[in-house]
Amino acid sequence: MSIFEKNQKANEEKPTQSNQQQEPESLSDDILLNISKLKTVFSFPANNALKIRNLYLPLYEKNVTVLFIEGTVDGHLIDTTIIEPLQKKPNSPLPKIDFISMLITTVLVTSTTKIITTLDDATMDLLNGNTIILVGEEPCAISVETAKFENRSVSEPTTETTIIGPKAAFNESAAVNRSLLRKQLRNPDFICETVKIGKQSSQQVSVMYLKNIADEAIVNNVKKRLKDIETDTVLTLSQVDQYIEERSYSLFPTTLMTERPDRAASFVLEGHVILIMENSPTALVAPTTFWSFIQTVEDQYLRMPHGNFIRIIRLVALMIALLMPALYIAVTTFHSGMIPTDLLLSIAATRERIPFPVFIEILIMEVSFEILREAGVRVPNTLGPTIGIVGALILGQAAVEANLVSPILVVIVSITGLASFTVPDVSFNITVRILRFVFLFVAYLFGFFGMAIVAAFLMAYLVSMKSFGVPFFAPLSPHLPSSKDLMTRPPIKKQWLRPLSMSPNQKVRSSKPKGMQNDD
Amino acid sequence: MKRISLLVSLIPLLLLSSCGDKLELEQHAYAVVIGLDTNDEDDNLIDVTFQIANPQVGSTDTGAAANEPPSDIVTFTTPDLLSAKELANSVITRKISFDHLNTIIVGEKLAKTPLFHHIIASAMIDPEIRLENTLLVSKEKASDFIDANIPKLETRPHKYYFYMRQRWRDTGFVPLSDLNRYFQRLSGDLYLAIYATTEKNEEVRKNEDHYVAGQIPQKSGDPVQMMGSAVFKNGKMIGILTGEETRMSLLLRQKPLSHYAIQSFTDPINNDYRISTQIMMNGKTRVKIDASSDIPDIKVTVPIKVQVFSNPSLTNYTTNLKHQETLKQSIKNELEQIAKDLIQKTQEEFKAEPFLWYLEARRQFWTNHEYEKYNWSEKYSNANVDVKFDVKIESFGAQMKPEVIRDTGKD
Amino acid sequence: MIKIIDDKLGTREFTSVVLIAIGMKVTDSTPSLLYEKGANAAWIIPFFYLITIGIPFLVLLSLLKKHEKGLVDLLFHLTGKVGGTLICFILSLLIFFSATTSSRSYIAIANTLFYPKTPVIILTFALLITSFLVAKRGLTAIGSVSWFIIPTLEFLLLILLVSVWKDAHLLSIFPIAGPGLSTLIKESLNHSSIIGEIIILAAFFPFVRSYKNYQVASLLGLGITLFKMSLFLAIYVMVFDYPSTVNMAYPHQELTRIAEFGAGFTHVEGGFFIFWIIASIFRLAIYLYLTAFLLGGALRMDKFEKLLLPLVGLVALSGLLPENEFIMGSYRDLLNKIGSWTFISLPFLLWFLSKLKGGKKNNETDKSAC
Repeated sequence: MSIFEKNQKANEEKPTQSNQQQEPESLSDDILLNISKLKTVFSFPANNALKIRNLYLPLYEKNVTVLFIEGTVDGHLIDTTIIEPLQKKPNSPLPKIDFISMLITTVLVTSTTKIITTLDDATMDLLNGNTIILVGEEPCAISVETAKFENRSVSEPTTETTIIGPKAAFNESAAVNRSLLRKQLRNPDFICETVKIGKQSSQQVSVMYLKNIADEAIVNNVKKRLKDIETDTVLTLSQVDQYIEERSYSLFPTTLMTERPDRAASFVLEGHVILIMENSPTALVAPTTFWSFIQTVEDQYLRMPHGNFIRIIRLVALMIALLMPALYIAVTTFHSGMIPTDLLLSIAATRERIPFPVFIEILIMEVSFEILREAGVRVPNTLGPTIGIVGALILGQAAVEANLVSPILVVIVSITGLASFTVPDVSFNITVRILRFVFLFVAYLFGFFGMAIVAAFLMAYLVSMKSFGVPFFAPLSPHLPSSKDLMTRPPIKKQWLRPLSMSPNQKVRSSKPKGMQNDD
Repeated sequence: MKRISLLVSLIPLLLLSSCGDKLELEQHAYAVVIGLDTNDEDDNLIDVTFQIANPQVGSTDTGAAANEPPSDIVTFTTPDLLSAKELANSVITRKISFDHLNTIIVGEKLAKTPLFHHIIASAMIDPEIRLENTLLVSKEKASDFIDANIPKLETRPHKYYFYMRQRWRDTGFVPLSDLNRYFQRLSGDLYLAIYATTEKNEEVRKNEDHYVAGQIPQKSGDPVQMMGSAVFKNGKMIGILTGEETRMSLLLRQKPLSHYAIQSFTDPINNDYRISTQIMMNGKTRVKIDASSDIPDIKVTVPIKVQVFSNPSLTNYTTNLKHQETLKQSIKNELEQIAKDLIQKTQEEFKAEPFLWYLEARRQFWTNHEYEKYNWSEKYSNANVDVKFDVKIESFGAQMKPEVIRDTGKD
Repeated sequence: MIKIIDDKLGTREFTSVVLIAIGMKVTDSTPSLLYEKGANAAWIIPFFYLITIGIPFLVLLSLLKKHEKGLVDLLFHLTGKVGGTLICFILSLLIFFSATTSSRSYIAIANTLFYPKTPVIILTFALLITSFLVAKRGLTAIGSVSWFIIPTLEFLLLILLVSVWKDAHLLSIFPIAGPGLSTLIKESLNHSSIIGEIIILAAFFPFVRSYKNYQVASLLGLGITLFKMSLFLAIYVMVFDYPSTVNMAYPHQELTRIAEFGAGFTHVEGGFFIFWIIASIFRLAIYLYLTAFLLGGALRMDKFEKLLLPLVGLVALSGLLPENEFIMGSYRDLLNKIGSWTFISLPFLLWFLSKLKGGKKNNETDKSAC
């Protein structure tokens, strides 16, 4: 508890600090003073990231200083677009305006330049990779966009792989991510707003949505929660997610991370809001419903019967991943009449030599499987798959031979583990794995009765849970009109209606197909 | 945070209060067959025999025990079935469970006493005894039957009864007799239970169906014969039907359960031979009952299809339409004769019917009271019953004509 | 812009609430109540309910439409403060006893058939605490979860029907009038409360999106419930035949024990049991919420949800009071009689009062309508 109190205190202190910083310090007309102030901000020369280049321009008879921060800028760009034009004699006669405007309009050959007047702006722009040009005897500066952060190129998705469909994934650059989205949605209503979060080293989060579809209340809700974040630094979107979600203790995620631009775009089209942030190779989708956790883009890319087939398989796998060990334990300890006699006898025969109760037996296997799984993620890439598969098999085989577990249990645990890999979303996947242990425990205590009780509570909890005001199981329950793209999906031509659970401004995607007149 | 810690603190509480019904699988002894007999010394006691499956024999390689028998058979003398279940734990180390109980075998001697119904009805209080358990009557003591029943092909006892029951449906030599049907047919009508024995009393007969269990000539093979049925009236066994009679009584029911049966008939052209056929229901048996008078009129039509399987007399029935007609007529007559004999037997000997015609008779009445007043089973023994078989010969097998040895030389 | 998620029940949700609250009765010990006197013709009784409960309910519907008020407000509006408090109190008492008897009966079923050695106290508390947790999430949650689970439940009943069909003899339901028509009619009047709880469910009228939704949902729910009840009362007789059905305490559970899916899965009652327990938790949650709502109405409490916790304790304790389920039998009969006549007469009483007041206040309502 004490940790929390401390945090709260820290939060309370912060506004006073920021208030002091609020009065913006303007640049003075003394260039040396400006430089020395900037030097203090960046602790020059102890911190040698700040690069200062003094120029004397004989053409204009002016002293100019160019500043930038190493590692955030494209050096070649500065040479060709700033230094070179400044020192070259222009071809045309110079217009008779003040020096700064003249530089911007005629000399500098870059696309984005702006005039800044405060020290804070200068600091901020320097950090964002802009080059600042200070001009002698002028109380303002020119900021030129020259940013170039090191970045990997757009690569294939690693967690949300599909067989067909686009192979591009988001990367760590927000600009690239936004461009990937724009590439999908060429629509003037596709809005990109920025919200600044973090008090000290503030980051920008882009809030993207379709103005003519997304519900304003939802958009405002998302923006409000972003603005309410009270902390000095937020590094990635995953942390933003944890700041804006409603229930921090809940097992169930209420937002979705996707690394696929096409998936993000399809959410935007249904009226969801997408958050993009620098340094995060994912987009955050809010609000999210249960369905987005068990669906993949491939369901829609494949033809209707094929897509439905894999979707049903995944649904079955979800049930197996969640309930299989619990069912086994309930059936063997409470309801042994349900097992076919042959199977029962063979289980009993192998169980006779095992020293532990079935609960311990299954716990040993489940825990070692979870360990293997975690090890598979942490282990260096080259060893990963080998450890995962071989480890599980060898461990299972050895455990059976050592009479630690019965052979059927190895089958149960393997099919459960395999099934849990089919849950496409990472956080929902972990939810399922935790819940499996909950079910296992109650099944051991009360058999089917216990499982029914947990299932009933879970259902009541889930249908009444809301993500940004949207019920978790909507539009199935509470029922709202939609295209029924839920457990299964109709043919794409019949998906003419947006799910009304998102309160979209435009309810339909296309006009109602002719064949559907009757069944409304 | 508080809520979570509250939940966590509840867990040990749950562990302490855990369920009393929890028991590991291998700590149960699964009784798959129960035998019930009268006790020789005290009339109010019964001998209960449990056949308990041994999981370590014949089920899996990894847990197999080499020197154990496939099942353990123990007998206790107790006032009822449930006290035997408790008493058994003085001998058997594991808790007796009826969850996988398959068959209840009753010795003929017990079945003929009124005690039988009390035992069975009170056993139903235990939820582990299920209505779908099969009831089987053995000619000898049930414990002897269980002891002697060591099938050659099936190591585990439950599998033997499982396969047997699958066959029964097809042949119709024995009825489908479960406890649910037993409890349905307590008020005046006849209930048929499977009749079986390991004691041989062989007789060779020409008609392969006209046996009851124990009479079938057999050399080696499994010791158990199941044929015919034990007839129960008001919860007490009163007689036996042969295999043929059992099959006929199943045919005369409105909702037949057996789908097809192999039956042989006398060859009408050459009386020394018999023709083997497969008979199938061709639709439902139609029963019409006129219960307005004291002597009810019952009209029954049984539509059947016949496929001729073997024809040892080698008479040409395939292309000779006249012969075909004769055959049809003779099958019809033979079936009708069997039915007539059976009905006469039930009317005179049992004074009740096993054909479920009471269902149809009940339909004639407006209230239960009126039906009870009419007293169907008593009226049945005087009823005029008219049974008609509607025979269609469907096929004569794969050959157009039987191969006949031609007399070529003139000796 | 229209906000679509308004935290109210739609047609589907309310239909499911009705189906779970009343339609589930055919799976507990209610059938044995009807078989006792109705014998093999018990399946006809639901058809009589169409008249004995259907007509009062239609009268109530017309009142709801006229006044656009839930049952509680309607009672206070028409019978005045004292009358409203009294009737609300009586109704909440009836529902409370219904909740008690059903919770006790559910526990008895679980106890006898599946958990003979587990203490009844543990089962009772586990069941009721979960119901309480569900009820605490509010009626919207109950409605959503009902709609979420009801297709599965009805589908399972259908599966059950198919899997026992080969054991069913259609002719077993004859003689058609069973114990005679007069007995049947008398029985259906005395046991009207089984279905009559639909009248109390009108208390939830303010939670439903519109009158139209309420009308369609409750009539649909009532129709399906009656059909299902009739069908299953007939099926039990067809499978077990007449005299043995009467001796069964829980025919539905016996039916699930008979059901089998092929030769491999002969004992599937556990699967049905899971969903049956889930449904009964939701059913008890509805009853608890209804009791709290009515009691809150009687006491004019706005935060009636606070009553849930004491109520659940009371239900548990009074459920544990009798030694076994069957001791409650005679009280249950009496309550059924009182309940039946209350449910049948209440709408007529309200209608009469409404007519009386309507003469006086007609002008006022006309004005406000404009």
